[in-house]
Amino acid sequence: MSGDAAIRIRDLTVAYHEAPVLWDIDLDVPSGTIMGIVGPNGSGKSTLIKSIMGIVEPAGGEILVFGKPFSAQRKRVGYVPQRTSVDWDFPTTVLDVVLMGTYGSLGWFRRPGRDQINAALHAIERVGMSDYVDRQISELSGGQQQRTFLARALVQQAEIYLMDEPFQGVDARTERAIVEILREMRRLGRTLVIVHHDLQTVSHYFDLVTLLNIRVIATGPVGDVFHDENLRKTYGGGQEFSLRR
Amino acid sequence: MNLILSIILIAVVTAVACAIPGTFLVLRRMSMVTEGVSHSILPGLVLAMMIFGTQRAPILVLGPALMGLALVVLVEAIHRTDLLAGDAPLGVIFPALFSIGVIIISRRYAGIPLSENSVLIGDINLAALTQLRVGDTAIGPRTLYVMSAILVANVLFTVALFKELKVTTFDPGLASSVGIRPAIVHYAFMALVSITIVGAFEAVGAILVVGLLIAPAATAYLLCRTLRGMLITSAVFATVSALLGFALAYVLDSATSATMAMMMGLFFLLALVFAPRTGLVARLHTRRRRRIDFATTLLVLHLIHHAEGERNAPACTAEGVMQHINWAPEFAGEVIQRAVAEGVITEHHNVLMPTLRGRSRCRSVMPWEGCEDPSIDQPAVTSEENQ
Ligand SMILES: Nc1ncnc2c1ncn2[C@@H]1O[C@H](COP(=O)(O)OP(=O)(O)O)[C@@H](O)[C@H]1O
Ligand SMILES: [Mg+2]
Repeated sequence: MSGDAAIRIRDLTVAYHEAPVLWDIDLDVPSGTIMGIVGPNGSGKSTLIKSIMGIVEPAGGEILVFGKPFSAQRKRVGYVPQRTSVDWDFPTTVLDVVLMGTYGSLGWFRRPGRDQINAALHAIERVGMSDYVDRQISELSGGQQQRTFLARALVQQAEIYLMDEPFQGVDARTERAIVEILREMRRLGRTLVIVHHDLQTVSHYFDLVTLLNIRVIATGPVGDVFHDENLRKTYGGGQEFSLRR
Repeated sequence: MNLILSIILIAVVTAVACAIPGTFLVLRRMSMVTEGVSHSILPGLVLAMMIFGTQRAPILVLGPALMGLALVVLVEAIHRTDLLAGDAPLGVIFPALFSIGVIIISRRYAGIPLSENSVLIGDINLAALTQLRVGDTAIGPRTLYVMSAILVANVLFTVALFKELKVTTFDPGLASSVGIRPAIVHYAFMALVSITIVGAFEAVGAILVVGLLIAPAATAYLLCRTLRGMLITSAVFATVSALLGFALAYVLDSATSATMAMMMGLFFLLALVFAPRTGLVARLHTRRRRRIDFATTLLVLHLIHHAEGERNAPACTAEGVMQHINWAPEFAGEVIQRAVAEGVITEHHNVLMPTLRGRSRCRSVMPWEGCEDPSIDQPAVTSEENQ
């Protein structure tokens, strides 16, 4: 688990209104690892991802991506938004969505050309969606929708990927397929930060885990920090957790 | 230029010029804001006329357009403070602003050549008569020139910033993370919307311009699967509505702008009912199909439970099914026919039997219901598979 910090967060605080949604977050994501972020609903997981991406303006603190602010490193970071935040009725096709992954490298005004389309088709093939290239996105199953956004992230050719609940609404087969792709990405040296909700699979999927509930309750190797006591601190004491690990 | 031709051209050019930005207004769920801008244009226009007179066209377009843009900024600022929830700030601001304009107009001595009537629905005939002059020669209706310029601007903007408009509308998070700032695109776009509304004001008025912006795009939204398709389709609906609206208004001797807007509303209604995927008819059809799909599964399940050990039991005939599941005869008939056609049951001498395919269908839909065929080893589905 050595290596430089791909993402380094210090004293991060975020508030949409008065009450902080994230409070005094310190977090290091070593490069080349898969880190899971878990925590109850509304604990600020999506907000953390959005803060790293500069989508949400922090009230204070510092976020460094490979040692520099995000704005200097845009091309090195890819993003998969939370399913529920996507307008599935938007008139757009699978290919069209995946092509959006190339917009960052194109910059303003330039349009995607043959190279971009080939890259998009390649990514679509990699996630097993070649038969659905021209489908409108509302005509896809949950798993297919998630694969589409994964393909878009792949096209971004980034080094760090931030994914907000990529397994939400996905069937077991797709989940396995996605995990396979994620593992291959790590083999290629990518860094993955994945918001996750299924506690049962945490220890199978991730090297590191961060338990989040407005504050960082614990962060570190899954074997060290992912235990019942920390889970109780994260999710509240009332609940019983039986981790069959 | 021939008056009728002038009117037709103004109608078509205005409708298409509105339909193009309208596409993004619909996708950005901004019809309410559009209405606000169209209302706040009136006091802007009146003020500009009072200050600069009524002849200097560019200022008369840009002044009110700035006013519209200011309203967009203001409304968004109020939204952010959370002082007023939801649509309330818009509902408060529009009528007030619009009233200011109407009050000034209604005081005759202000010398504003607008009537309370025409600010609502415009006057396309008057617009067609008001000529643009170069020296002493009239070179055609001024509104036609203004709207053509706006149409060209809208098309150029949309083509040049197509990908930026698309990604900031669909996924502002991705857009801002890759350096395409949504705010820049947003305000440039809203500036163009404001200019479009002001340009169209003379011909169609403050109320109907909202219809011209929203209705063709909303119709296309129900029919199209791509953004490009939606833009083209809304332009086509705008053109057809303008032409039909003009023809109908000519026959009925009614207001052209209102008849145009009515045609647009009519097309929207038709799309709402008959659109292939999203229309009411299609939805009812889908729902009925789902109901039969579910009933088919239920039928197989029923047969599985009654078939074991008691073949030829009365429950496994069509009549038995009707009695047990309490289906009306026609519905039961339809379901049985469908189930046989799909090969999930067989019918033999009036006795219904589940097939293997039927069992596996049940198993995939209702795994907890125990649809295993006793003769088949079922693979165990456990969480271990995930490892
Ligand atoms: N755009 C927003 N405006 C105001 N409040 C927000 C916004 N987004 C999230 N919140 C609030 O911030 C908190 C954290 O939300 P979020 O980061 O989405 O949590 P999670 O992803 O862990 O479920 C929640 O209480 C939510 O209501
Ligand atoms: Mg979330």
